[in-house]
Amino acid sequence: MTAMTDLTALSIWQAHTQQRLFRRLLEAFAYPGRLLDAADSGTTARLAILATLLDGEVDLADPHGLIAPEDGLRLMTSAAAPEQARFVVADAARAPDFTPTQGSLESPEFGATLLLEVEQLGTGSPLLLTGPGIAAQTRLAVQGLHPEWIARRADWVSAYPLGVDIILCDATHFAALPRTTQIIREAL
Amino acid sequence: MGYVAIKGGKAAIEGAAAATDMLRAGSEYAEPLVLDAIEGQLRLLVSRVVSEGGLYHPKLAALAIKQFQGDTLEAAFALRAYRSTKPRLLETPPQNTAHMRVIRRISSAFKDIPGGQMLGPTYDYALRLLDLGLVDENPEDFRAIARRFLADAPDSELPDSFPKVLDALRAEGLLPPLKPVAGAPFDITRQPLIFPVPRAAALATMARAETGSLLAIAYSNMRGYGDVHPTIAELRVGYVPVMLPHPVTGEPMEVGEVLMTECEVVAMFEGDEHGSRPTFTLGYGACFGHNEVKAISMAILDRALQKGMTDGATNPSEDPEFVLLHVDGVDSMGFASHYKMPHYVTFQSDMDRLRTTQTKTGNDTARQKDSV
Amino acid sequence: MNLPSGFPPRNLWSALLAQLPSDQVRSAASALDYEVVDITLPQSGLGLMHLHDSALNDGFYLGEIPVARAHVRVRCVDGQEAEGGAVLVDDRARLARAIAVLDAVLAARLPGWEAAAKLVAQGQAAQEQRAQTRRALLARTHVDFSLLGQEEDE
Repeated sequence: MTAMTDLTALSIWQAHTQQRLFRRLLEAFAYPGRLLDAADSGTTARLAILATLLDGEVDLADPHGLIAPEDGLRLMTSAAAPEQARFVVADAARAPDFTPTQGSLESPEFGATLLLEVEQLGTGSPLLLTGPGIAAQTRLAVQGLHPEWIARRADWVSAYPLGVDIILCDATHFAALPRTTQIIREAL
Repeated sequence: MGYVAIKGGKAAIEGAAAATDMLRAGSEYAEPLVLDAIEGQLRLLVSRVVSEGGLYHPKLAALAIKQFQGDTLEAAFALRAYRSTKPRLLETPPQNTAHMRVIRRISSAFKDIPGGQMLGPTYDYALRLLDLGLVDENPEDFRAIARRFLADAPDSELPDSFPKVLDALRAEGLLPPLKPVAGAPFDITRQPLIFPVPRAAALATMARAETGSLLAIAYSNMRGYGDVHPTIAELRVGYVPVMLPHPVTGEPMEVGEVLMTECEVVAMFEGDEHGSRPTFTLGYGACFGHNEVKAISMAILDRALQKGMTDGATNPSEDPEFVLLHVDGVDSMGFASHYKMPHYVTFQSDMDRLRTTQTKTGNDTARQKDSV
Repeated sequence: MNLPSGFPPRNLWSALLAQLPSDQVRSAASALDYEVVDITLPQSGLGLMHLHDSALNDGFYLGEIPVARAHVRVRCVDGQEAEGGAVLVDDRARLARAIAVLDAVLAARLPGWEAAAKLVAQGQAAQEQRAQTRRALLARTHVDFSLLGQEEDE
């Protein structure tokens, strides 16, 4: 029936898919560095995560033009500059050229959530992670993450509870680095 | 407060749900209520619930009334719960209530108003005598009522909407012109009331206030404090068309109508200092649905709160904190109802403390009377 | 192909179609057998109703109204395309989508537009009925302030 064909074309716009993905995001934030799967959403992890997290009450910055216009309309969120936006989606291979908002003491939760798209998760240079949610230490291998992100992030999260939270994603998987996680980059 | 988990609570609670449903269903000869009947024949009850729920959805209000067996506080609560599950899509651009398609429009301050006065559907002039003819209403006679009313209606060239009385007065220079408005209003669904609050917060809070609470406090103001007897400049009930941009053309399009009641009151305000010029003060009340007493009460309290916010409150009805924190039905009924929740540990510790105190003060009589 | 004179303008179509039974509207839309693309997802949610008070002109929110909204692109077999939209004071997102389809078809006079026009006309008739009832309420209760004994003067 024509009336329904397009609605079901992408399940990321359906509540049950978003709820499933949201639970995995919760797990990702609870266990920083753990790899979670988004491949069963039928599209890129990047779009699936944004579809789950965004609505009309938050805003998104897309400084590297990663979101197609038709998808942008369907996200139904407002656009904002990377320095003010609640959510920023960016190409991790490029060095950051902005400072995202880190929230305020009264409202640290207004610090930005950055969705950084890398080439590959699970292979490449390992990040050594420690902090809440991690027993002792854990490793997250990442390919295509510009080292400037790690250096700048250290500044952004230095004044806890202010800070930013990062979700790394490739085409099919994602992992979270909340502001409480410490990253020690291993030498190659 | 510590609460102790017990066995058997769950079974009793499930039993309570079944018990209310059993009473609702009544005998085996009873018929379930039809929502259309509630919406149509109990329209003023539905109006109260959409207004107190803060959500204009008459069908859901009718459902809530049916489900909660007529308890308006619970029905309003159900609407508030429902709205909390829906996403916020937009704020409308300012709607023009001068375009209200009125069904009732009166003024007690001014006799000749542009367009005239139309009493509309009102019980104001009715004798409060019970009509026993309604006990066993014949369905055929019932269905003929509307048909007959429309057939008997005189031909009329009356328009659907009328200019507001206050606007006509402003055009004549009898009232100062309106100041321009800026910025998004206070949103009480997103921000808590931390005093002092702007007037927009007061209006929004009162618009969804519980009618009895608002009436009682307004009545206290009417009975002899503050301003000289206020009069109603205009009371209107009708359907306001809601205009939103068309998704394709961007042009304003009509998306539906909202039944609402709007009231402006005017009073002379004798200034505090001797010889100061008396001026008009205006109060405004508005709410979803057909709720006249609520709109009038709100307009009275709006005026009282304006005075309280500029000159300081001389009585509780002029104190924004007193008024705005005590008129929300869901807040107040929720707190009153929570007293029914088990407070066993709290109370036990209160009793222990009482006994200890009594022993210490050697109050033997109290101990003898203590038979708990 | 012109719409009859007196036909309501496009900015009334949504509200008029919403007056009809929703199955009638939805089956009319699906009967058209077009390819329909959702430009934005049909959504049902809440809108804050923004008013200015008539006493002091302060903006405030009266409360929330249900809002259903859809924005679609419709493509028929011969390749003709049109965009349509609908916004309703309602919580039925799929009804809004069906109305958006009819809006597109009617605005661009795509094949099958006559059926959509007929529905709009039916909605207009229902609206006129309601307006008549309201006018009757006003006419029956209009207060004649002329003084007793003066009827012949007018």
